[in-house]
Amino acid sequence: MIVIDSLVKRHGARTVLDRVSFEARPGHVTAFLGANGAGKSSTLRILLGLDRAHAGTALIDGQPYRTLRHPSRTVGAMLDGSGAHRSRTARNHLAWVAAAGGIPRRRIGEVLEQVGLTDAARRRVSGFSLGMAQRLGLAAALLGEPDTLVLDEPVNGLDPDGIRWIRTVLRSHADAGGTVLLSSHLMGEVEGLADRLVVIAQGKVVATGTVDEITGAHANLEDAFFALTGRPDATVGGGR
Amino acid sequence: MWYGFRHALVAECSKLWTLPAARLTVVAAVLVAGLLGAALASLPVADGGPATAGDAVRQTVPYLQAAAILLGLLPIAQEYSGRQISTTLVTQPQRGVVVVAKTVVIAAAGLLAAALSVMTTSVAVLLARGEGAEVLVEESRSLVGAVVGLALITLLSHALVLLLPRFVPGLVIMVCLVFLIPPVVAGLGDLSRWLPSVAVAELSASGVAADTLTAAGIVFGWIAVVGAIGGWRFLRADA
Amino acid sequence: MRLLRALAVEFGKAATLPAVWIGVAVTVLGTAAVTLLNAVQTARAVRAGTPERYGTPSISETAYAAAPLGTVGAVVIGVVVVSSEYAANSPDAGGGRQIATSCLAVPMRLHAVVAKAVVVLVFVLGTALLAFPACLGISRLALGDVAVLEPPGSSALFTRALGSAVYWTLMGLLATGISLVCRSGVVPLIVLIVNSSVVSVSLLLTNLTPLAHWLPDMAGRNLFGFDADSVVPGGLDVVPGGVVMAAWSVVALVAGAIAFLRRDA
Repeated sequence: MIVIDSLVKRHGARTVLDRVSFEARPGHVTAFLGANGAGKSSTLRILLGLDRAHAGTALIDGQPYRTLRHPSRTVGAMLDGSGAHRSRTARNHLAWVAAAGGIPRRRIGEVLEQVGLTDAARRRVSGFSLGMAQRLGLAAALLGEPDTLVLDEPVNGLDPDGIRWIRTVLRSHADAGGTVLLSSHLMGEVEGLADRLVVIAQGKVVATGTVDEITGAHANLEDAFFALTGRPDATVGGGR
Repeated sequence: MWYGFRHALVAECSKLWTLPAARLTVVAAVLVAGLLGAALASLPVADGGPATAGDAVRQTVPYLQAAAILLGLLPIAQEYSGRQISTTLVTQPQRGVVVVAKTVVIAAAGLLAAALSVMTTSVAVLLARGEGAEVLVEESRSLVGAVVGLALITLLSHALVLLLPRFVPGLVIMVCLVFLIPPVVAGLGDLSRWLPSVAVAELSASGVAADTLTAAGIVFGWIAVVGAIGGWRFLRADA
Repeated sequence: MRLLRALAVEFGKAATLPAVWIGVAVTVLGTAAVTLLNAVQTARAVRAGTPERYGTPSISETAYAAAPLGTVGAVVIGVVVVSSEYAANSPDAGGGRQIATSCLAVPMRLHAVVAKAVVVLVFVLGTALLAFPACLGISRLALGDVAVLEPPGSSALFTRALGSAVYWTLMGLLATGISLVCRSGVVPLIVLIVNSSVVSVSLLLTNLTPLAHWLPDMAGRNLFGFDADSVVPGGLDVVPGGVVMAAWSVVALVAGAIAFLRRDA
């Protein structure tokens, strides 16, 4: 279970996160929905101990990430695409991530097969397509068989096959009792996948609830989103 | 706090071992060591060549410093080309553990690479001069000093890039510090012995033992200061 | 004309690349600092009555002693103009490299290479234009009354500056060519900077074979105009040496151009 409480972060004079609070419960897929720059990645990075918040807490199973005894086996995180160095092979990348988490080496082959990268295992990451890089990032997240999955824009760059596959993976993870928190700015994906939504705009949480609750009286989620984030007549490049 | 230390050590070893740039650097260092050793040893003394085999080995050490610098930059610099740093810190959120593990691994790697290189030079020199190994046994203290000195340069490189985690600036600063500044400061006499590369050269010099302790102290001092500031930055900054 | 447009593009890129200005600053400040050091020590030695340690306290001697060190800045400029194309962005920003944008903006790759060479030339010469007068001024001020003036009619002040500037430029261009072939700045940075220090492989090689005098940095070293007796003997005279060094730079640039034109972006 993930509990985020009143997170505040500033970058100089700019407030990036303004008392962000929400929960992601086990057995549910929680989607963090917002425009680019709304604060999704910042929240997730604070949750994972990469960045510091100026106020507030972000806890996983009641603990801050940095104090977790076996972080890789508690939380599987996918943040920046492959998260790998370009000159390493996929297999070698997973090897050190496994070693760091005290995860047995057999898992490397298992996750490579799970994400469909077995054939590309000995290729350098620099030669990977965007979709392959995303799959490698996911493989690293799944190595420790964690209960909680935290994913930043996991669907980016995946082909239809991949999108359907990741939907299945995340859905079955949640159905088995795990916690899934993903961030996205793609309405379609979120609609088909998430149980609960947290809508964020300009560093503030503007709505939480199920997809139906948030769509409410609007025609679809997209209209609801624009209404909630204060730009009901928004068009490409216009409005300001 | 140290739960994951053993795992972090293994992970850092794995990372360095599977980084093509690291392997290339060590291979290049060994090759250069062999070639330079042979070249220097065949130089007649009149042209500035080495008088003894030990001198020949000592003369290759400055050239090997370039490889030592490169190697030391790699553990940290590789994290920041792309976003591997995020992956590292998510798998091991205790940053102190990460820093210590990286430092231990690069120190060991630096020592190994330096030992390999100095050994290769020694063999090349002995072969070129047609002398036996006994000639170098008496020089063993200065050879050990050379190996340790090179490893210390590697550590200093690592400390610097902890502070300034970009590969190219780190490279340029270290190369200037080690190669370009000493001759300039040489004119200032005593001041130059405070430079890390000059102190390192002291370590491999044949001669009185007392000087080597001061020299080692100077280099350790550099590493400690730069490393402390760099470590503090690494612990506190956003990834 | 498209070459002019390519030139404008490359100038814009270089002028807005911080690393280029760092190279300029390193050269100007570095040579100035060394000149100051030199001049102060020489003046002190002369006044203390031991002038032999530092050589003649002539303005040009003191000012130009630092010139070989300025090569570092020239190499940095020459390398960075190419290596910046191949530096990858963070994945957040798409993980892309500038090279694709550059090739789209200036599809005639030969124009791009020529333009880069011209930019390196201009920036390095410009740096020399800043550095040498500054060094001369500092030297004059620091030596003060101890200064031995050049004999009238001697053009040492000017010719040595010119020679040094030419060396720097050729080294910068050599760095550009090598970087184009390697698609990365690491190798030329290490090799060229280390080589221009006392730990010079070329210098070592000259002891083994006279052919080493034909290496670019050895061939060109007389461009700095140091006294014949304070320099390693052998080697080529100023003008032939300069020509040989220029030939090396041209070869490197041509090799780089071929690599750049033929490869995928």
